[in-house]
Order: sequence, then structure tokens, then C-alpha cells
Amino acid sequence: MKIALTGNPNSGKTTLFNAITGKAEVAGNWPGVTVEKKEADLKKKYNPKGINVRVVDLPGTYSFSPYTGEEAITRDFILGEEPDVIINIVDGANVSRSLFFTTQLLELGIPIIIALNKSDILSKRGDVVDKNALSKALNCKVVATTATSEDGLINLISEAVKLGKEKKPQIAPDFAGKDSEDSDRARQRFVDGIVEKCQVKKRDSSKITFSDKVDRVVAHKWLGLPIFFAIMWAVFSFSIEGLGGYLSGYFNDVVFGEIVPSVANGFLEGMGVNPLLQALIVDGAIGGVGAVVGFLPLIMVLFFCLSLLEDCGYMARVAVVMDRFFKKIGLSGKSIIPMIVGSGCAIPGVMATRTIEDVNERRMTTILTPFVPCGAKLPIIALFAAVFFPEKNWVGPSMYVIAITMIVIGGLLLKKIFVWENTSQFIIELPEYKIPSLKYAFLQMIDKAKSFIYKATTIILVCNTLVWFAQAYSWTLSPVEDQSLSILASIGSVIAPILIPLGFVGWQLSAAALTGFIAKENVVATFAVILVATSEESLHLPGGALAQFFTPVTAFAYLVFNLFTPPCFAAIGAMNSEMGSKKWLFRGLAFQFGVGYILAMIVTQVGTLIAYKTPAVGFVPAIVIAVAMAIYITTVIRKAESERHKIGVEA
Amino acid sequence: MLVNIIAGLIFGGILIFVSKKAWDDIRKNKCSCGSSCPGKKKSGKRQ
Repeated sequence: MKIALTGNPNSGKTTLFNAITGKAEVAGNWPGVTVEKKEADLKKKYNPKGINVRVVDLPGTYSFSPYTGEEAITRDFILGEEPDVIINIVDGANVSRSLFFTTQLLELGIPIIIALNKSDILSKRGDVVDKNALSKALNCKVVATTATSEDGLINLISEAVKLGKEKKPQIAPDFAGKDSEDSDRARQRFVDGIVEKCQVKKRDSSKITFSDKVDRVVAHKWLGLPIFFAIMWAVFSFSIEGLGGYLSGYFNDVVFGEIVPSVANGFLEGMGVNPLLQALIVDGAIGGVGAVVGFLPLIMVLFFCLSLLEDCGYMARVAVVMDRFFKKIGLSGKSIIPMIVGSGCAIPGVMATRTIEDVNERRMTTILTPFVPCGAKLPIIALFAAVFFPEKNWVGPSMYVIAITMIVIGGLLLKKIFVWENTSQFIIELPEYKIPSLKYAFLQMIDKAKSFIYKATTIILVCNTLVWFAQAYSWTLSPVEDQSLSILASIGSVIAPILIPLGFVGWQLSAAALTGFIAKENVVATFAVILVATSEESLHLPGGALAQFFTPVTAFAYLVFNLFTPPCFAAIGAMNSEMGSKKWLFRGLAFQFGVGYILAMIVTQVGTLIAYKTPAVGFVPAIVIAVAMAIYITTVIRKAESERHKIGVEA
Repeated sequence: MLVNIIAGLIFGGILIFVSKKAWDDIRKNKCSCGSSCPGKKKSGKRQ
């Protein structure tokens, strides 16, 4: 039996899906989090008889006339695959708006049960929805639910399974003007009539609520942005330099710096294992994975804080605050949602761009979203902050400020370079503020932690082992004493000249940056593997092994380079899917590489001149590249302007 | 010698297992960071 969960965006479908299946799919307190269908079996608690029931969570939609890609997924699934039962999740706090889609679903003939969700908010407001009257008016069962606390879900699922077994076709509602040309208005009139009969609102809708009062400050035209920056600064500072940084420091220096390697070395030595094999296991596999896993507490603290912010309803306000600024650069508030999602992982962030209907705005958001530092980039930020900027709490948050600045500048550039016209309007439904659920934040944190460990013990482990092998052996497959004769050194040396204008000298730096394109955490892991073989100094301590390659200025530039050049391969794959065109993918990647390269070059060359009153390495080639780039950009912009003039599009 | 073979086999086995897992993730178009990322599928190409 196949049960489909469908309803308006932000009605609680994914929360309900997670509750009844035991999955941990990303749910959010804003519309447009789910962008594709997800399937899972019912949890035993909801399926005691062990019937074969598959639950499908669909992206939210307001009607069967899709505007965006993810809405089309819902329509195509319901019309094409005809599920046995549809659970229509109706937002109890917004019944009037939700029922429009419900009436369309009722016309399909598929058995439907309505989950009147967010009942807790409804009763908190003192509003009442007469379930029996609603059920009678729509000819289908209505069950009151609260997905977050799982109230009413057992009843909902048992009724849904019963409906699926009965296979009785759903009776369509009949209303005046159904087949007329203006059927949408007629449908809304029908819905309004039902709501008038079934709903008693205690609260006067014209009365200013607590959320309205908070929004007057938090989403204010001028105050909104500084408040957003202050909140984000506090969160990142607390996570990277505060509690998260402190715990990560302990994990890196003590757990993975001393305890684990000495236990592993002692064990392998005791067994009489060959020193080369021992070095591969301890320095390569354990050392590399440990250098990344050591940052787990930081990731957990950050995502716990972000989940609290999101669950209380603040993140949805960020989209409103950013809308007026984003509009000026050809984006809209809709673009902020992929960017917030992208702060966890660039892949779902890039995928979330499909909620944007305007093709140019979507492309632009897809190119700019990976600029937001994702969870994988956090270990690089934390490592460089700890080694080169100890006791300074601005480095971590500054990366996010630079990211937002680069999104704005990048957006303006993209708009100038390509002939784009902004057509989209931004409308978002703001959820009411609520006390964030610690359970939700904890589960989100655990989910992120599991993902981080999974990645560290799969792709990072494989890469580290290969990196260890490549730095210990030559092309003739014989062990090398001098690392500069190794396979890794010869690969790194090919790329190294490109990085000289950026002030990065050494094959080690290019090798680490190269492995970062497989997974960004690899930058840290590669340094751990390369440097453990040549240096006694700790990787994570101020003035440690990394200090031989960087000044604080070039270290900051290296951070910028790794953060703003193209993301990992998996995220590039997601960009390819969402762009739907190889030409645009390559344009996007070239743009990202250009931004990361030029920004790092500016930081190194200008920063070194200011801080040390002397030019950095690669000053002359940097000047040549800067001039060439300025000429190229001016030419491209002029060409675009003349084309724009020809077709009459405003920049 | 036997110890080295056993240790090498165990480590090699782990490496093959995780490589297979990483490869499967790539092949099945899953992203590499676990459950928080949905599987990648082509969105409708719209111009």
C-alpha cells in the first residue's frame, strides 16, 4: 500500500513523515524545505500488524498548477502514480488557505484523509475547528494531529490504512461555478463557506500578536540586517571560538593528538607490525580521519544553535530581511533559503534552488550558494583560526561576513556580465514565533554529527590512505625518504605555480587544495597526513607545523581560496543537475574559481603590503593577472551592455 | 610476517569496504554526507 503525504508548504509534512517512519529527513520551520519526494516504510509503532505500507513525503504545493520544479514533482506523482491513500496535511493554523488544494485533491477519486495538523497552535490561540462539520462538508475523515509531539498520529495512520484497504473512491465536492471559466474563484468561495461554518476564531485577526510585535523589530527595514549579523556573529563565534572550539581543541590535541595515536601505535608495535604498515594505519588512516573528526564538537554546537534559531521561526524572517537587498542584485528573498540550507551542506542548498521559478535567479543562486561556508569547510576555518589567530574570535564569523559580501558583489557582477532580467516576486508565509524544541535541535545535531562521521569514515578515510601512500612512495612504487620525491609532490608541483601569485609556495599547499575538491575536509586531513611525516609539531596548535608555509596574511588568503573556489565534486554534481546545462555549469565553476582566486590574491598582496610593508611572493604575476582580469571583465560587461541595449533590457 | 599479513588484510578489508560504500554513494547518486542530503535527481529542466 502506498500512502502519499501532501499539503501546503510548511504544513508539517516532513515532521509527520519523520515521526511515522523514524527517518530524519530535513524539516524546517519555513516553506520550501522539501524539494523532492522521499519514501520510507512505516515505523513498527504505527504498523503493529506489519502490513506492507510505503509512505511518500511530497514537496508542498498550494494547488495543482505548479509554478516551481518541486511543485511539479507533487502533481506528477499524484496524477501519475496514483497512491492508494492520500493524507492531506492541513495546517490547522491556516485552514482557509490549505483547503483550496484539499478540494482539488478530493476531485481525483483517490481515498483521502485529512490530518488537521498543528492542533497545539490552534488550541493555544483558542481557535476551534469543528472536525465533524469539516468532515461532513468535505466527505472525508478528519483527524486532529500535532506532528511534533506525535499526538493523533496512531489514529491517523490506522484510519489511512483502513481507507487503503477499503479502496472506496473519494466523492468529489460539488460547488457552484466548478466548471465555469472562473473556477478558482468559485473554489475559493466554496472553501470560505466551509471555513465560516467549521472554524470559530477566538482571536481577532486584526489584533497585533506577539509575533507581529517582534517582527516590527527583527524584520525591520533598517534594524533587520544588523540584528541578523549580530545573531549570526554570536552563533558562529560561540561555535567556532567558544564552546565548540574549546571542545574541538581538546579532541584534536588530546584525544586524536595523543591518546588515540599512542594507543594505536602501542597496540601495533606490541603485535610486531611492520613500521611502514603501522605508519599507514596510524599516520595515514587514523591521523587523517582524526584530524577531521576532532572538529565534530564544533559542528554539533553550531548546528544545535542554528536548529534552535530555525525552529523558533527566526530564519524565515531572514528571507524577508534580505529580500530588499537581494532584489537590488537580481535575486530575491527566495534565494536566501538555499543559502541558509547550504550552511549545512552545499548539496541540499543547491537543490533547494529549484523552488525559484525565475530561471536567471535560479542560476545565479546556484552559482552563489556554495559561497556560504558549509559544514565541511568548518574544520578548515577552525584549524587556521586556531593556528594563526589564537585568542581572536573574529576569524570564524568573518568568513560568513565575507561570504555574504561576495554573494552581493558576485550577484552584481553576474547581473552585469549576463543579460538577465529579474522577473520574480517574493512572497513567504512567516510562521509564528515559538519556543524552540530542544528535542528537534538535538535530533538535527545528531543527524549532522552522524553525517559528518559517515563522511570522515568513508570518502575521507579512502582519500587519506591514498594521500599517505602518494606522499610515502615514488612513481616507481618504492618508499621515499624525501617527501619531495613522492607521487604527491610531483602532482602538487604541477599545480603549485598557479598558486604563486596568491603567495602560496609549496607543493603541499596545492596538494591539500586539490584533495579539497573531493571533499573540503580533505584539506585538513591532507595537511595532517603530510605534516605528521615531516614535523614533530602539532598541527592544531598556534605556531604549529602549518606555520612554516604561511604568514597570518597568506593563511587568511588560503582560507579564502578554499572557501570560495568551486565546492566539492558532489556539490558540483548537484549544480549540474539544477543548472540543467553543461554550458552554465562551466560558466558557474569558472566564475567561482575566478572569485576565489582573485579574492585570495587580493588578500595576500594587499594584506602583505599593509601588514609587512613589503610585497608578497608572486607580486609581479599578481599585478599582470589583476590587469588582465580587469580588462576581461570590462570587455565582457561592455559586450553585455550593448546586447542589453539592443534587446531593451535594463541592467 | 603472519602478523603483518593479518594486519594488512584487516586494514585492506576495511579500506575495500569503505571504498565500496563511497563508490556506491557516488553511483547511486547519493551525496557523501549521509541522511541530511536527499538523493540527487534531475530537476525539471525549465528555461
